[in-house]
Amino acid sequence: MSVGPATLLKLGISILAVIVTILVFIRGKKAELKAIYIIGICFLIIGLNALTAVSVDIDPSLFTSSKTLYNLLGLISLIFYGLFVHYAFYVGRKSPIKIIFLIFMIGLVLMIIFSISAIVITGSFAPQNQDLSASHINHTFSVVIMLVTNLITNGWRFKASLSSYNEIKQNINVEDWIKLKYKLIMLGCILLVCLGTIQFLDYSAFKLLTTMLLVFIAFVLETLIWLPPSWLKNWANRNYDVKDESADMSEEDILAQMEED
Amino acid sequence: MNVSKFFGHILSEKICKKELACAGIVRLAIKDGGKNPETININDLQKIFSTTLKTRLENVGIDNANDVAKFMLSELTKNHALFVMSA
Repeated sequence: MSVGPATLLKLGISILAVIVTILVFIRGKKAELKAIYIIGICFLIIGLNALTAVSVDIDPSLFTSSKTLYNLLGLISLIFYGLFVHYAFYVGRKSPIKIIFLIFMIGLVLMIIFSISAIVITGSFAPQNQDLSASHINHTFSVVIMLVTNLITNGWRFKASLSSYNEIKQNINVEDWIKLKYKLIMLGCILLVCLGTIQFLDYSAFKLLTTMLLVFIAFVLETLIWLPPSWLKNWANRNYDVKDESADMSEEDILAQMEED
Repeated sequence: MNVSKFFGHILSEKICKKELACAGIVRLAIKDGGKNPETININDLQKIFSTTLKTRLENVGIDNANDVAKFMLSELTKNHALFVMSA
């Protein structure tokens, strides 16, 4: 059993993820938007994933089974990110969600087959330092599947955010904070693709540290996007004129102006 | 997001009336529906556009108020992502 700062950080992320999930769900209920509920589910999966990583720190003999669960949860979170893009950016528009969903299902089935094969061949409790070919092959296949699905989801999320951003960037009636939010989402996509790419590296302290750092940054970024502190919104909106002058007009003035030719 | 300002601008381009007055009529329609313009969500706004906004537009003599209301509903769907972003 090894409980160091990294374990505490993972534990911290999982606890925070549950809190953030609850707060995002409350927002989703208020806004009555499926996309917000889906983001809440993504946070919950991030929390579960961090807990899976904690279980390996506590008992390294659980490496193979934990790694399998970690990859599966990662893939499921990408599916939910795909659903988020569909429900956020493609309402009333044609969306490629069915094709993307099919690719994900194929990836999920393949990953389950590889994982079960690895567990059957190496045993569920293969430790992380054991160089077993079956476990290694399973890892490589899982990483490839994860990277492909990651590129699809985050590439799609990036493209949808960019198109949506381009539609509103010149609109003076849209808060600067919302424009910044689009940019932060695009940054989050790049971070998650980097996270998927470095999984190709061999198991090392550098890989672990970089993964933890990227997960942490991505988590903080997503939290700032969906639960922004007021200082951040105020800072982003520093040049935006929040005031709606129509609120100061009387009903008679509004009606009179509407009836003018 | 300030929905009165945002949709007021869209409405003013559609019916060629002053932007401020259009923002005002959107605000009044929201209030007619018993909602707060600062906190209204997309589902409530959908109802407002097809009911109280349509009535308000008819009352001020806008031609084809029904078509304008439909246009506003389509603009609402088109800008769905903005409501997600501002949630």
